[in-house]
Amino acid sequence: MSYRIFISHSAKDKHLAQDLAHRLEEAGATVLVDVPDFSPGEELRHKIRETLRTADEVVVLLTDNSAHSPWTRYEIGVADALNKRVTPVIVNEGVQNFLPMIGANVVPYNALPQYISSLKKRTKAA
Amino acid sequence: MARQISNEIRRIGLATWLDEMDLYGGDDIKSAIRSGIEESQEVLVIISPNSQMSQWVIYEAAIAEIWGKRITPILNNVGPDVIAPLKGIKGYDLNEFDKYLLELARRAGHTKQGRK
Repeated sequence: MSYRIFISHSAKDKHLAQDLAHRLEEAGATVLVDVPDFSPGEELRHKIRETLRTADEVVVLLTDNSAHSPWTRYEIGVADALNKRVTPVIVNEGVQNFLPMIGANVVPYNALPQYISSLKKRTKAA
Repeated sequence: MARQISNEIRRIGLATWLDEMDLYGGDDIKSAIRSGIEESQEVLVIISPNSQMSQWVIYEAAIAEIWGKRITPILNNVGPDVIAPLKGIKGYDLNEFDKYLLELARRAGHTKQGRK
């Protein structure tokens, strides 16, 4: 049974998200394929919901790009409503004012190695 | 503005819950929001430009949707980008609010007690 992680990120941070995806896969996780580029509307919402339903954890890559995106808020809302484990990874200082929405489990980007160590325990147990 | 809207809805006999944000303690806010949404049948998502609250409303709308609540966006001068995740959901402009109230009154009249 694999441990599935969805990475919520801005399209502008695609390379950072891909780098993170590789690191998560090295730690034994299955990174869920990005939600395809549907136009905004019910179909895209449905696709996001269905993808998040299958996730064991949602990692939110928080940069200045994603912190200002309504899609980030939408995906965190869906994850919370489904009681998924949400792990915000903070890349920029400027996202501090976003924090009230995301609560615990915050990982500063340079603390990723520690997060990945703890992740390995979860992926092994899955 | 949200309080005004809340009062108008109460005036037609429905109960409302308003998310007044004091930005302390992320978990307190989130559980308060969750309870509010859980206890409601409909969630009005009020969106203005430059509004700190707009950050939260998309989050709340996502929860409402997963939990099967009706969502009604009320838009106050916002561009489509801000509300992109809500595209396709029937909403009202703030200046059409009376129209919404009429429709709500008609809808809520079919239930014993409507709550928002």
